[in-house]
Amino acid sequence: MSAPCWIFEEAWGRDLFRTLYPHIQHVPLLTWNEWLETVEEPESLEYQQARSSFIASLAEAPKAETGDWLITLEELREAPLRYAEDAEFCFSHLPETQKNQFLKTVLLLYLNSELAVGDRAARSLRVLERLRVGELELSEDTLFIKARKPSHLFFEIARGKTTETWDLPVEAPQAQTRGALRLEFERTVDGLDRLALKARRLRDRGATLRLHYDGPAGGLLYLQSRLASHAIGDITVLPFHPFPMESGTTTLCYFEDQPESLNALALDASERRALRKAGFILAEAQPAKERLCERITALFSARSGRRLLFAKPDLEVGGSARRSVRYVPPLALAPAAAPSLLSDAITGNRAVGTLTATALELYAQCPAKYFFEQQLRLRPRQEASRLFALWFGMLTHRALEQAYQQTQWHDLDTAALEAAFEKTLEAEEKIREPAWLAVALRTRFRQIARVLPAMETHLRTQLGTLTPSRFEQDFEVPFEKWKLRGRMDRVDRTQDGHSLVIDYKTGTVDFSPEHVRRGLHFQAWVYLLAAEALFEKPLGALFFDLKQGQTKRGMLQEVLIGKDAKKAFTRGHALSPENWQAVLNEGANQARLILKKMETGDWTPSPAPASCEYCDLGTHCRVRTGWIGGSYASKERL
Amino acid sequence: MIELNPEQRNAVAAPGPVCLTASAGSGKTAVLVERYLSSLSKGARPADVLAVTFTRKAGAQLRSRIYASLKNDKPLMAEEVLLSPWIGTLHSFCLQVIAQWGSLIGAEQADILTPLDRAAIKQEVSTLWMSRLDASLTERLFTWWTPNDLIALADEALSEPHGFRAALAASNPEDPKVALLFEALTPLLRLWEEALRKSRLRGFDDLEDLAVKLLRDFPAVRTHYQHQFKAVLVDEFQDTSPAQWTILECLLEPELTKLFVVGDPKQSIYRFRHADVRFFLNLASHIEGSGGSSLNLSTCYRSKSDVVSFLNAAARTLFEGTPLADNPMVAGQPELSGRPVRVIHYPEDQEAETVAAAVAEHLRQGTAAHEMALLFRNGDRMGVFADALGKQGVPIACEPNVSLFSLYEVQDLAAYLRALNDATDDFTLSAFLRTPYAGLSYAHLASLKEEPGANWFSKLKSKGWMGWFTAQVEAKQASTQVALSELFTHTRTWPAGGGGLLALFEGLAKAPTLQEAVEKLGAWEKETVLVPTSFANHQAQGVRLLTVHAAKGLEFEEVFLVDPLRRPPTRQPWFLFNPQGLGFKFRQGGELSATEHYTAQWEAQREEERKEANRILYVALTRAKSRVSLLLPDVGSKIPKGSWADSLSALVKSFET
Repeated sequence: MSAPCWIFEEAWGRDLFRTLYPHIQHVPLLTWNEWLETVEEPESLEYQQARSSFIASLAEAPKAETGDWLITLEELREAPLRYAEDAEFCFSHLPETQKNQFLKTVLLLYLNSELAVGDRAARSLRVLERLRVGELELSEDTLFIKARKPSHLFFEIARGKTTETWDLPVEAPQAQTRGALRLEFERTVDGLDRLALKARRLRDRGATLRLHYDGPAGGLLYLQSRLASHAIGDITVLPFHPFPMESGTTTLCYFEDQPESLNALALDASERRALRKAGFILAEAQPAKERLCERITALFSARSGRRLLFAKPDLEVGGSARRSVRYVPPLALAPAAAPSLLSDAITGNRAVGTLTATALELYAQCPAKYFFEQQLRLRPRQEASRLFALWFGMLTHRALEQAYQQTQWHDLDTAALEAAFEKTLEAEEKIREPAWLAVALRTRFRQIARVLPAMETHLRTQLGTLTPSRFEQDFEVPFEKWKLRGRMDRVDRTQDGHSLVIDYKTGTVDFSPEHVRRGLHFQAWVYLLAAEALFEKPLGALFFDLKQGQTKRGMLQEVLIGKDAKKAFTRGHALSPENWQAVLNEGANQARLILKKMETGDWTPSPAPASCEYCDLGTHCRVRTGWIGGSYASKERL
Repeated sequence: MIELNPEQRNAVAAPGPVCLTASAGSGKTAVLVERYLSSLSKGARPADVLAVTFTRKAGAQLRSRIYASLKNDKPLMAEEVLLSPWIGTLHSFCLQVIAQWGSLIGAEQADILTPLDRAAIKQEVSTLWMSRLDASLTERLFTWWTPNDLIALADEALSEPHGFRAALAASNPEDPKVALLFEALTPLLRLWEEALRKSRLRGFDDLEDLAVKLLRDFPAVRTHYQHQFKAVLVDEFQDTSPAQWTILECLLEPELTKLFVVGDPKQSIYRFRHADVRFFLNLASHIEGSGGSSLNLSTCYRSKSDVVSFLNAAARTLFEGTPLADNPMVAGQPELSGRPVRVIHYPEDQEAETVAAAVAEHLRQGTAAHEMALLFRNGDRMGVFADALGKQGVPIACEPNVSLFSLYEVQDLAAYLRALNDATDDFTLSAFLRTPYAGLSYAHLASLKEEPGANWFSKLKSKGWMGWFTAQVEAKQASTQVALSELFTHTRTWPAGGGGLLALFEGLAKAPTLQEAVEKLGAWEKETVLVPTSFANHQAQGVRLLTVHAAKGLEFEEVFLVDPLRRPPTRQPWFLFNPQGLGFKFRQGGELSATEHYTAQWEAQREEERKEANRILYVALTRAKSRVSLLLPDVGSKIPKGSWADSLSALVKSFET
């Protein structure tokens, strides 16, 4: 293709450019890879011919039976490898020596990856070159690397070993090299896992590198990525640079008597920093960080210097090619974090503390939500619009407690309730700002003050005399080996001495005993458990729906309220003795199930579109952000 | 030069003013190009011709076609065409006018308000407004509206501040509720304007307003352009709004002679931008009455002849009883497609799978992927179809708009900026720790919780984790740009993303400090700001998934009309307004009521929407060259009134008989 086009090193730069200068449409803007694809048709006849002649040449000159590399890096570079099948096909013509297997594994890692087609084989070759592998042998538990030059070694050790020593024969490139070659590989991981890998050069020439590993079993196999790691024997070769940032990780490979040999290494900014910190003197090189900074600065400031980019390009009127890029999640996870990405749960038995009904309900809704909100106490700072509901619930409870304590229920009218609310409002200094908040709270309470006296009267026509006897009663009751705690808004006593637990709800009440059976609602169940422990004759629990002005829902013993009164409650809320017991038992079963799961540390999120949409913990649980259990999940799958 | 038919030649040569009604696929762009060239051949320079297109893309297309036909014979003229500022949208014209004359009315240079800016400013302004409401006003407002209602009211008022202000001013001030709204919302509108001025931003409606002001109130400005332009060409005229027409009128005074408009009233689909199809019809008769020519292009070159007869039948049914029903298309292609219409019945819940199977089948039979399109009335279900097509291995070309904060990469970056801005907030800090940039597991968080420390940040430090991050927090750099480059440096990862990430960076570039960035992120999370993204199986040459509005001006071998059970939205807003006044809803004794004006407007709007729905359907059908595939649910399914399925089954029946 000879048409003029602008080529960008990476897709994001191109896309950013396009966003900033949408009116430049005459020139195709291509990434390097796209450009490569336009000049080089991947499935062209030429390509196919090249591939078959390459394979033919392999067949003609088999370098068999030596046990050595049967294909060199130079040969590989010439090989027209683009897709995984090519490599499979290619290597199927070669004897299965370990070296070939190793090469193939590294190649396949890349060819199977989501890198751009043109980039795949090249990247794998680069890694192989960085390894400077001249010779490599594998056995069950040993990796022999003959390094032509000390350099970075990328490898990973399988789980299951607590101490291990490897001897790596190293062929020194410069015969005059004296002193010890030291290679240190140390990774400290937050006290959960610890690995120290040390290597020492044993002999002067044709030296052997001794690698020693001392650490817990299973602490090492990690760094999961989209490019699944491949294991060769016990060794896993990583498809990417495994030491991405300051994390207590240093890889050093240098000649102790030649500190300047450090400069020959391809060091990254963080490695340079680590070395400088350790007292090494390094030649000045512009660190990658600064380069990146400059690039970003240029892009950001490009907005203001827009005109500069209008240097008239050689215009070719025509369409523009656009290929979008997918979000490839960062591969370079902090090593500090990596170990337990394999399993995102804490395993092993844990003691479960004293729990509330809310905690049980939260867990039932989503274990991850419970884990973050209750276990870790992580909650978002509240904003004004949400504060309203929060304040309203709190102040209403407070006002009602005061009103009922100071006045007999039958003397409580709208005015008295409003006065009580006014008093609570005055006592609370935090609601002066914003100005509308107090007004809104007052207006909203007015509605409750209007309906509450009628609700009380109505309730008494159903259940007979009820005397509010306790307010804001805290309780803690044992449940098998666990403990449950909570607070009753009010407890009323009936004529014949039965106790009725009353709960004020400023929002909608939509629970039914069926919810208790299914393990979705625990509040009523906990109330009844507490009532049985605290009072002699519990009648049940009743929820005041202050929004709708109704007292139709709760859990009441049918035998104690009589057939006629039963009709006043929503169907299913007044229970026959059998049902009463069944619901209590079911509730206990469900609670037990949850508590046992908590003890195993199971915090697997249970996503549901309706609840996830309004949940603040999306980034924490990674269900909405598609990263769970160490791999990215597509949102559509939820 | 392209060979023109007599109709087209006539349209190119006709003396102005000309109103050209051009059917779908009748070669109207070719006519526009020729008309432009003919103005040049009469002695005009490209700088003397104003060509108004509906989108920037259409403008670029027009420009390149004119350029292509000039570049060999008149290279200099062609160069001028490339540089001409007068080919483009009406908004780009407004920008030029304001840039040149804005100082007359003190209009400073300003950027265009992007959806991200709009969301951020809206949030900022309404929060400020709520916090400033005084007790007595609040008390009175709460008689009619709840706090949440008020937030929604403010939101709606700010989504179209100009129209709202005008409607409020035109309403009866004697009505106590109107007076109350006036008292409460005027400060809101003022805050909005101040915020825009402060951040040097301007919405499209501001652009139009300013341009009108300059052209109407300053005769010098007006005559400048009247003298300059020897011809004014307007494409897609059926989608012109009254405000835009006012601008054009100013350029054309005292007579319309220079005017050449092209459009198709059957394809007017931008009512939500105040386009009014009656406008086109009135102009046509006005031009005819005043000695100009009202012409037709009725030969359709796009579709095969049997498809054309189906489209004509469809127009007859869809526009029955209106002037749009007349004026059928004439087939320009003698070829037959053999089977112009195909009805695909699908079992409920299997729609996407059925479509995907049909598309895959066509691919196997040799239809190129990019020659097929799935057309949607509304884009929000595209993901389902993209998935189903992906499962069949079909590549798609689709860059749908999604909410910014539904994108993983955006959520992760936001978590980072928020944590950096306030590391003492345990919640935001822990959110960042869970992103792949930090990658701490549940177990890590649990062990962090056990660590002694006043807050999570000090716990993190005493653990010695995330050294670069804690160092960065302590360095107290408050620049968004530095923060982002630090992140990418230390994690060595630039999250490649679709347009969403770019929109985010574009927005963040306007928030130089972390504090500003975090405030904006909050606003963008709350508001649903739509940004383009792409699906996994996206390829430039894939099957196109488009909304009908985005498909305007495109053509495909075969189109599939999908998601046929979708009904036009029926949500009733709090406000309905037009220049005659403001209608609104309010609460009375817990029940929602509405003003008379509101009820009347709602009815009128429903009627207009119904008509527009038919036009949208017509536009969708006319994208097809050889075949229209109609998706209909299996017999016996419930078909909602007003849905495509409803109209289509009637269409199919009438076409068969």
